[in-house]
Amino acid sequence: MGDFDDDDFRDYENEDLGFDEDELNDDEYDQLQQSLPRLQGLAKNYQVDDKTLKETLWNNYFSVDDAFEEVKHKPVSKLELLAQQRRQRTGLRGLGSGTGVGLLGRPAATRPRTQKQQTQPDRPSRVEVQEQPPAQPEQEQEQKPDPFAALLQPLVAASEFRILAPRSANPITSLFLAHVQLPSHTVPEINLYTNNDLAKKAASNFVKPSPDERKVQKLTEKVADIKLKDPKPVASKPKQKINVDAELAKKNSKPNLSFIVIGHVDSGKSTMIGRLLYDLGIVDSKTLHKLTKESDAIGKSSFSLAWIMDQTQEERARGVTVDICQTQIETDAAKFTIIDSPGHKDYVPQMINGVSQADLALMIIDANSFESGFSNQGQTKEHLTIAKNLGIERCVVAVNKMDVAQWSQTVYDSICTQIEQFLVEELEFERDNLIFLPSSGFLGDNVVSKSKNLPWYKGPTLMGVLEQENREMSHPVDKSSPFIMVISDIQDSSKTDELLVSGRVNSGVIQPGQSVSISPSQEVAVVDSISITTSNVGSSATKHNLQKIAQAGEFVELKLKKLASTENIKVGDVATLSSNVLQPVKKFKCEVRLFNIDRPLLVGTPFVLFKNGISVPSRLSEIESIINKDGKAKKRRHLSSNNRAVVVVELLERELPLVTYAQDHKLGRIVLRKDGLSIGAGKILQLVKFWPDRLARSLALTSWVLPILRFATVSSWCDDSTEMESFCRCNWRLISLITDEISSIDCSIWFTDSNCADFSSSKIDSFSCDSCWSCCWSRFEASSEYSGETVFSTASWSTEL
Amino acid sequence: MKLVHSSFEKDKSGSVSLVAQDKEDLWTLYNLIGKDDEVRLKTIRNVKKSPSDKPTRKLLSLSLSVENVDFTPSDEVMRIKGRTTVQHDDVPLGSYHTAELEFNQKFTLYKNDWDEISLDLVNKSCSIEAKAEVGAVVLQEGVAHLCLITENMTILRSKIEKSIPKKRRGDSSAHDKQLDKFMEAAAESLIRNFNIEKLQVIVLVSPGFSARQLYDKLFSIATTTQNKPLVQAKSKFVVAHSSTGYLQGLEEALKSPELQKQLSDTKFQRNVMLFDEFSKLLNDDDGKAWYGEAEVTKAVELQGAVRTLMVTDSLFKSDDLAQRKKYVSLTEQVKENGGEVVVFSSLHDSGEQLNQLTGVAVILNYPVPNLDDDEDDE
Repeated sequence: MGDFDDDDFRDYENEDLGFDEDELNDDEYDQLQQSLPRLQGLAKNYQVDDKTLKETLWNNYFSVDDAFEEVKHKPVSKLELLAQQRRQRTGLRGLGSGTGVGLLGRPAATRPRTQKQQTQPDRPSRVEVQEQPPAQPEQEQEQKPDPFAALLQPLVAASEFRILAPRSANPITSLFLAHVQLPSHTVPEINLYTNNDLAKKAASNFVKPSPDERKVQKLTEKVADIKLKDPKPVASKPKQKINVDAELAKKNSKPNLSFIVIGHVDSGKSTMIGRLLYDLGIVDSKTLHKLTKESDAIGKSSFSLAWIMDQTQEERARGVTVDICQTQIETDAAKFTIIDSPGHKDYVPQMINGVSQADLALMIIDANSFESGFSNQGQTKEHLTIAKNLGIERCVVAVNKMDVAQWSQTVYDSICTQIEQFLVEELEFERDNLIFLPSSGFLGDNVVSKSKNLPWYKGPTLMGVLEQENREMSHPVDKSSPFIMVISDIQDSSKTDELLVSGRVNSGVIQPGQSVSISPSQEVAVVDSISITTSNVGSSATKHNLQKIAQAGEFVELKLKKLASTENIKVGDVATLSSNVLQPVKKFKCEVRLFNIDRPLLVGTPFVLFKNGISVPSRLSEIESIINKDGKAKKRRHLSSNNRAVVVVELLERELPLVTYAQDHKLGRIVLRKDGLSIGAGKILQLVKFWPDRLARSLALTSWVLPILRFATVSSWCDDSTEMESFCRCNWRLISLITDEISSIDCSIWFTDSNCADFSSSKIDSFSCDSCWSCCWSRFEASSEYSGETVFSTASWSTEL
Repeated sequence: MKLVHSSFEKDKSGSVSLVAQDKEDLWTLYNLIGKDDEVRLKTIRNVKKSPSDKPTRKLLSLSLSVENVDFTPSDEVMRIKGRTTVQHDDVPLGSYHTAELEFNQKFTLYKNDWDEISLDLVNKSCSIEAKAEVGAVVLQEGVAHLCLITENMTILRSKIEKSIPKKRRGDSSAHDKQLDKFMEAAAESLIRNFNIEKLQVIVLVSPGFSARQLYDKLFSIATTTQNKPLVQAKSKFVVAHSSTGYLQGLEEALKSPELQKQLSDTKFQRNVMLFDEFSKLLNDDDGKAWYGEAEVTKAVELQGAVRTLMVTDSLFKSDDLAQRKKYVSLTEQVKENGGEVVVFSSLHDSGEQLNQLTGVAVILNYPVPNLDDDEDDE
């Protein structure tokens, strides 16, 4: 606003007021009285009221001839009137009329000292339409300017484009209106001047289609002939016909529970898992003996059990777990997926990836250095906070290293009280969802077998708790929900079009033979086989079991075939059935809750965003509102500790396929971290879509398309997504038809005008093609309470492009 | 940059002749040359004597009234577009021309109004002090960013991405193999992309041990290939810690004490620290830190209140002359009252962040609450 001073505003006000007879000074009034009778004489055929005549005179500085010229062409603006009426009838909101008036209304109302030359091109004669004698104004009114000529005008004179464009929008719109056949497209007959014989005669001529209308007709036919190339159909039938219900029932008889072991560094997470595997007989004594010898050799004999999970050189040399490690075991009654996570502060990202694959958290707490982990810098609190915010509701807390704590019940009780208080009061866990137990992972007390050292503990062992949880948490899988799997690991295959991807099935079911689409690269592949790697209790062999079907909650390895390119597939990509492609986005709206932070979150602050298995650099791009404790939204400019807010987040490096919280409670969650600390967590509310780049670029070539677009966005089209789809499809035919004929036009001409403001009330800094598309899109989303589904898949767009 | 000649009139108009020597200079010039300035330089133009002639390329000396300046940090040329202001045998007056300005090319710049900021830009870039250039690798398992940090720019030279299979119980050889390949690729890219002899310091930044692993890999390659310059430069390498392997990890590392010592006299490091102090004050919410045009203007009007004024260079780059003037007078006012003015480069991360925050911010000497009062009418 700083660019306008008061004078400017006054000028604007004057413009809007236009002509007011009462405000004329004496001189002007005299002139008006002199010239008015002459004009009335000249214009008597035109049925224009005195007030309009006066205004026209005033606009033309009381020159009778000029005013008459304008009166002659006045009907043109009646056409606008008609268009406006029509738009209002089709359920137009304020926005639509704003567009019409915003461009045309103002030039008409202002004094034509500057407008004069610009208005002239408006005359139909410049649009290469047969000029009608001035005595037949109503014919002009019904006459439609040739759309092609109108389209080409921007080429002729870019400077005139501003004024011309709204008019050229009209025929084009009716063109595609005709094509899609909306009931509202029929133009009602309006007989304004029926008492003129000449007019009647002319009107009868206009029953027949005019040459221009015939052209339009031809074009429409031509357009209708164009066939959209559908994406190549991919075989998507399961290889084998199986009884899905029976297979699923079989699986559900032995449900799978996935749990992640979390805790502060050196609390004994890996050792606990090693102990579990050893005591269950999955790791044989020979292997353990070998590990003991190896760890002894570098003076870390207490690490032998941990080394079962910590495989890499780096991890063994440094004695810390670096990455999550996932292993599956099968007992007589249940299946488990165990995820070991690193406790070190630097590897919280990996731990977050692990949490996103788990149903239950097993928190390991070192009974002897409880405080260091529980302080604000420690990972006990951070891990629990992350787990809770990523949707984990149940938590088992194992107070470990009880052997070092002399099996003391007082130590155990005091730790339990503090943890419980934190979990219930700060993190809002349900008391019933928490289970506490003492243990010693190193010695194996209360892990698989009961311990003699803990006579005061009456509850079940860790394994007992897990089996019980497995029974309680299992629930039948909804096989009708869409198949979604986040890829957590990729292994190359020997063949170039094959890839082994593994991950957890997040929802739905999949069978070999079905084809999947992998977002964001939109690669399509056929699932060749599905296997689950698992070990039975009591046997040290790992088995790769081929599956007939995989269901939500299972960790599977998919062998993908017929990939066009394996390069583009990355960890964190999302596989869906190819009939249900996820659209990747770069921006999204989310509700965030901030933790304790020592630097505020400002607009533009970069952070790392974590969502289902990957981390990406992002930044805060907008703060919509901050929610106060009483639920009221308040506008503020930055976020500080413990704020809850609705914000827009922008991904900095690449687009990602996202799922809103409403669609999936687990995938729709995010965690934010900055400078090594978790700063907040949130739920994705809405995706902000961008049009594919290529589309935007090709649109830059066809600037005239924008009037259509403008019309479409402001008219009732947007009320229904299917209509929007047909609109886009229809127009796309037009676009592809005419791009060949029109060379490059810079569409930026369009956006220097105020019309862009009509697209969207939101502020647009640079009127680039991209921003136009995206803001139209957001307008569209806002207007139709768009649910976040994709109307058209990128695949179909790209084939057309 | 070399200053060949300069002459200024009393009304602050005047001209300077400059020779750009590196990318850094081009960025300075990009900020210096504004709309309606006049530039005189040698340039090549296709010239036609008559409409039927074949155009011939000719080296001409042209004076342009600048309309637009184009510069991408990854390129080594800058394009100046404008209309000629002097009649020439081959080029009519007022015809458009786009000239490319390259390194080591002398040109003359005439400005109607040399304000303090412009003069400062010329003086600073022409000072003979060695320009600090720092190489940095920010990495984590699977992704590495190689960048060059100069006084005013952070340039991403190369990004290495590799998907590394996860470790598995019983067999993690695939993981180890791919990780090794990744480290090798990063190390080789570093040797290829960095002019190690020229760089002051090379920082390796990562969470966990990846940076150390890269360091080891680098010198095992150096020994096997007998890369003497690299071995000699061993002391230039610094391993630092960050929480992420993405570019924002760089800024985090720059705040760490061990790097502060190494880089204490570089401008970007100071900027990072300053911005960090600013956000800390903002979090304390005691009225000592403000941002936004209206608030800053008010703070500057309180004489002696402003300790540090932070502005991004893009505000001075603004085509709107009135806006530029306003910010220039703002900085002059602050300097008069004993405050410090720091211009952030928008090509650094800290400058980019400030840009997002309206581009202007202040740290005050004492708390002044409610500077935003009349804005907060909700």
